[in-house]
Amino acid sequence: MPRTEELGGIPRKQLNIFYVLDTSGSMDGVPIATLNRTMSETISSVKQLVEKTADALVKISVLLFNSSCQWVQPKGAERLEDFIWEDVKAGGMTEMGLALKELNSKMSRKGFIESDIGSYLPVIIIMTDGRPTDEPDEALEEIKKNKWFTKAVKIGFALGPCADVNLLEKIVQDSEAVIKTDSLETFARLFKKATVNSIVMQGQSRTTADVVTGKGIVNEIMGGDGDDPYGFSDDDDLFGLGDDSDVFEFGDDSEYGYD
Amino acid sequence: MGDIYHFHKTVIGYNHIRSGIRCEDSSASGSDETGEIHIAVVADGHGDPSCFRSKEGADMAVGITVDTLLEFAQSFQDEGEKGHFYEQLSVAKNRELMLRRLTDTIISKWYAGVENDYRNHPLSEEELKEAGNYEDVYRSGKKIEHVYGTTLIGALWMPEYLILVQQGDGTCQVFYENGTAGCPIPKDDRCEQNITTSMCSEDVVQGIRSCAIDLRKNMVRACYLGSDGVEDSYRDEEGLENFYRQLLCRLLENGREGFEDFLFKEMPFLTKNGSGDDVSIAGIVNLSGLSRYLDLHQFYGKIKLYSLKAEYKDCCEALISMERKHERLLGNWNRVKAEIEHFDKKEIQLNIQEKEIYPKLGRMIDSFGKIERQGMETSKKSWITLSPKAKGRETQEKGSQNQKKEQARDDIYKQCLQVVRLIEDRKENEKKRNAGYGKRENAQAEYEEYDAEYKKKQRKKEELERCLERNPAIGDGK
Repeated sequence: MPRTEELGGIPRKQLNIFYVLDTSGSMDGVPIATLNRTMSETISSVKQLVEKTADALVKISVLLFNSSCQWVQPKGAERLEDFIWEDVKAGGMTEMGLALKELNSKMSRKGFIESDIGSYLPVIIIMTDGRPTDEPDEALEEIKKNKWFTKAVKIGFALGPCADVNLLEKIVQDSEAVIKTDSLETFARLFKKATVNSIVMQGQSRTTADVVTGKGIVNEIMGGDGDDPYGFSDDDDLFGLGDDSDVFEFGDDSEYGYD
Repeated sequence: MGDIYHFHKTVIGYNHIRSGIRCEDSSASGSDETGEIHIAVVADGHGDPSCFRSKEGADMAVGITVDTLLEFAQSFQDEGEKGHFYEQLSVAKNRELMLRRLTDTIISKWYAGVENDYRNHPLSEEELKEAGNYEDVYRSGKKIEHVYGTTLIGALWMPEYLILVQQGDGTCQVFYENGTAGCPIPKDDRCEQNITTSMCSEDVVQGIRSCAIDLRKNMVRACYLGSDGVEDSYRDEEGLENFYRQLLCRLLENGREGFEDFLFKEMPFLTKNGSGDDVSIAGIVNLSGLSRYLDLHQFYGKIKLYSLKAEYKDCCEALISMERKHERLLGNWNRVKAEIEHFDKKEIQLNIQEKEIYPKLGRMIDSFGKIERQGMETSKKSWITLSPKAKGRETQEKGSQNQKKEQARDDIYKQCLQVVRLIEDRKENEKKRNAGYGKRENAQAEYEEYDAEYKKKQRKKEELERCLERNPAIGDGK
């Protein structure tokens, strides 16, 4: 008599996290260095978290877009323990439409989502610091027909004053699921927190009335616990952070390319 | 009616143990005194922290459903009523009405139970702190049912009908006497991934699902109810069906005691290596003629086929996942090795330089000494006794000697600088090379460990490929 594990193995429930990251020319310099550091630290934090608590098999997919778009792992999503972040360079345009089209093609069981019944709703974290240089409307309409995309927990990061917040809001389908920040350090902290919280909050069974949303996660990480962990006393602080000397201000220094 | 066996078991989730969270599942099964009515129920309390009494909610749902199903069945036990009852159930419209009454009763009793528990045990401050976004709502006495949120699946097996009810996720798997299998309770599309409808949902009355199977027309061999902790442990419905079919084989091979022993051992394994969630299974099985029903050989063939395919898929996925890191680790090791080779070559160059530089310095010092000695001999000559012409020659010679001395001193100084640079270069190269050795060891160890795992997966994949190719039927599904 075969044991239970011989009945086709017992795969752990999968949680797919998709990062869609802008690596266009405007990210050159400190922003891309911050993104590289942030991704590296985020992956490391998530590994620790998953080792300790999570019940999911976390799989990572990263789509980089500039004048073209490319997956960091083109053959398929990688298990967290196999995923390594390699620093990327910035350059080129901001072809957001192309990125959405590519994301759409891989958000399926024929693409990067493999498990049939044992999976959590995917998480999509999308970040840009600019405006699209192509026409993303058609790709946006197309991806909205994708069941996985529609149901996914989506969080947007609008980095710097030139980011197209309006487009990000349309992509994540909720204006409150977009984090707008001019500070790279703030971005780094919240980006990490958004990933970690997505995993923690997705891992609990919930009723249809309490579905985890990007907005819910954003509210949670913006200090909803009352401890104000990021040092923001209110929303204005988030965009100003004028008193905080350890944060970078876009526009204050042309090095960041946001002037 | 046959030899009907019922069972139920709930095991705390592996991740619940790790996180210090109590088991939130509940299950029960039983038969009435006549041995004609059998009931099985499972309930899965929500893991959402704001549903902090979901265990109580699940226990209540199980208890209430057992009682209600029993009352429902017993109310028709009189001979006169029984015929009428089955007649009513066979008419679609009546059946719908009867099932609606049944589910309405379960729901109203559960809400009454919740209300009662809440009244007797008001929410404590400690509990309210766990409520998150619901804190204010709970404080105002609203949505209290949410605190007790749970799913529910129940089965009532009567001589001529099997009645099934379900609210929320989980699976009810039925094996029919004709060899087919299925999940007869209609699906609720809202229940997917970790999202579920619930006994606490606002639309629970409309959302609760039920069905009745006429056993006279479609005899059922076994009916299993499982919380989502079971189905989430399998990659697809076929895997889940195999698991439940296996339970039948266990019963056939090991009898009731062996079967219960199996559940006791295997369910913790299932949650540890599978979903990590609480796991509940309950079932009602007709054991009469089970050996005729089950062709173990055929079944094991099916299992083998499925497990080969699933394992092959797992191997392919794992290899895709590992490929990039495998390449990068090898690249890293090669890079460190190349660095060390560079330092080794430099060391050889420095050795060659050293062989030349010291003798040259020695020669320079000798030459300087010779010049010095010549100068001293010139100085010994008596300046007074010399003729003016000789004095002129002597002055010229001294000047030339001084120049030579200066040049030699300068050359020695430069050569000394080269020696110092050589020593520093050697020190630096040695430092870097030693660091490189450490890096190489780490990179090699990291690569070799990962490579061993990678190659193991590759071998497994090839082995499975060969295995699947040998069997055309299996190969089809590759």
